[in-house]
Amino acid sequence: MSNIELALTMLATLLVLMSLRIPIAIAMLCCGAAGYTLLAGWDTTLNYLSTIPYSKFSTYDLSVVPLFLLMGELATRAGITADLFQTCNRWVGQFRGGLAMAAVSGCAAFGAICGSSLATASTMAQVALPEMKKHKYAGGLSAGSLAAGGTLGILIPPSMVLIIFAVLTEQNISKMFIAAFVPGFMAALGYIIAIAIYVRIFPKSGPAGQKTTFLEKLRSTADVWHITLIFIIVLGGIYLGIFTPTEAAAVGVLLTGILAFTHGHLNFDGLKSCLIRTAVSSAMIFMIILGADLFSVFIALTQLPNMGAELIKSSELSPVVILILMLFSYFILGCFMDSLAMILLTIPIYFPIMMSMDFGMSPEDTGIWFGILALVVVEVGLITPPVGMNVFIINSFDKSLTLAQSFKGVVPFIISDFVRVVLLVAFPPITLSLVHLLS
Amino acid sequence: MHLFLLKVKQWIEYISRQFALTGGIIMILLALVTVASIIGRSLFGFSIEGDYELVEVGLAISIFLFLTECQVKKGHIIVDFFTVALAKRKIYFLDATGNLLFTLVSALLTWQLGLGGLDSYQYLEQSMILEIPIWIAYVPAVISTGLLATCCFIDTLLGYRESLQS
Repeated sequence: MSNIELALTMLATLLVLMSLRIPIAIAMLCCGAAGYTLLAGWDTTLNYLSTIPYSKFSTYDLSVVPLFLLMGELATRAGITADLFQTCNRWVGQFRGGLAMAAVSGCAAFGAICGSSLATASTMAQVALPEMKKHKYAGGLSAGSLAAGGTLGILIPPSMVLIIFAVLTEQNISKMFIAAFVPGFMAALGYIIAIAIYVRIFPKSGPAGQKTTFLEKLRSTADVWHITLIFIIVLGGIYLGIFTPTEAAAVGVLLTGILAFTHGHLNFDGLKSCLIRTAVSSAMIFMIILGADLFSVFIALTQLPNMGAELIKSSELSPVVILILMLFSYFILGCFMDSLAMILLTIPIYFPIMMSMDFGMSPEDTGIWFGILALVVVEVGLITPPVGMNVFIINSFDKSLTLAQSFKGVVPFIISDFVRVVLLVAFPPITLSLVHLLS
Repeated sequence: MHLFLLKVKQWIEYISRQFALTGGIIMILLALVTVASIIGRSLFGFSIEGDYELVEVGLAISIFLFLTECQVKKGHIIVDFFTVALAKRKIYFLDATGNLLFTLVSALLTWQLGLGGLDSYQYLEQSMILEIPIWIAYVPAVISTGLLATCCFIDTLLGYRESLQS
């Protein structure tokens, strides 16, 4: 069996194991170990297992993973979502569909201190869903806006997927965070526009709320000074290069912790459950990182990525077409797989291919641009059937709503996602300008 | 036998919870050290020397301590799209098989990390500035992966049993 055949066989085995409920991390470890052993020998594999786990787990840049996870856990217990939602509602409530817009912008603000989509979607839903129901909003619109709003949790930095991408491809995490800012803002704006168009077509789905005076708007904004302050310190610190991401995350943990204890009345038991949840998610992520590392070491050894790059060169397809094919494959994979696993599985193959093509930018720019595009596309998988996790979570909050209604409600937001992906592919400066400006 | 396994599982759950909490407290301490270092650097012109190294060693120890809790809470990501329609019995069987694989992997890890730790001890491997001996981190690593392997093994046995009985 040639190396390429071996690589493809292991890739196929991996997909089979994964589809049989074998945890993704374990499947990657097993297939990676088997392939590596067949290529380089048993001793090399054992050697890998004796040194690499420690060196992977002690990667300085990866320390932001548990820290930002803990910050997110503390943020969900800080009791700030209600304030955030009320403030946003003061600003946009008087428009048709105002509550849905408030939910989306609330999610965006919450996403700026929380890196997880599910946490963002579910904490905001607890506050916003009952409110929308009270004002006779159509079930699909409320569910759709919250499920889509939840994706802003990973789109807007801090973002777990971006951190993993950056570490995997040796990009600068701070620069990736800067690059994600404008696309994240565009996402929130795109969702609000989607709501505005939707309620224009179906006026009954989201009636307008009360008008508020400018003074009331300002006063309610003062209510969320704490989250604004944390946002400015943590992300501002990263953007201006004052903090490394780890330092920013450490400051963020401390500040959200204080907020959770004072404002959210977190007690010692609550803190313990935050720690346990952080432990579970961190272990899950690090195991996948380890599995993906072993698997990608094996894949790199088989020369499959080089082969792929040459094949693509000889096919004379334009780089943009290849890029679109890659992004499309994320969309398909996203129907079955978790976003993090998708990134870890594909990057060892896609990234070298991507970097071998000429887009008329510096390699660093190409890397950052591709990372943001991949992030945006994998995030769409969270709201598309059949396994749109966000939609399931939101749906579980409202018993009167069928799953089909919820998925229908998501359609306008998926359209908005597509428009954004096209814009980001067509105009790389949207992503890269801020990076150039700040560095 | 079955009752004995359940009893052991209970102990493991207790220990893994304590491990996870310890790891969490280490993370909080690392955050505090980092913040202290920033404050020292910006206000008093000195930073805590080698705070990077503390973060690296502490992070590795924490993650190893977290591993078993993730297995206990079934925190690993699986794809269940293709198996939704299967009978309970078959699902249990697949999950037990997954746990069997994980048992093998984690047993292998325990063994090799043990050897890696010994190597590190013999070669006096240490961090650059603070000269922290690296083998220290291998001790919780080996204990944690050992606990993980035991936990996975018990889950495998319980899972196959469940599959046979339902």
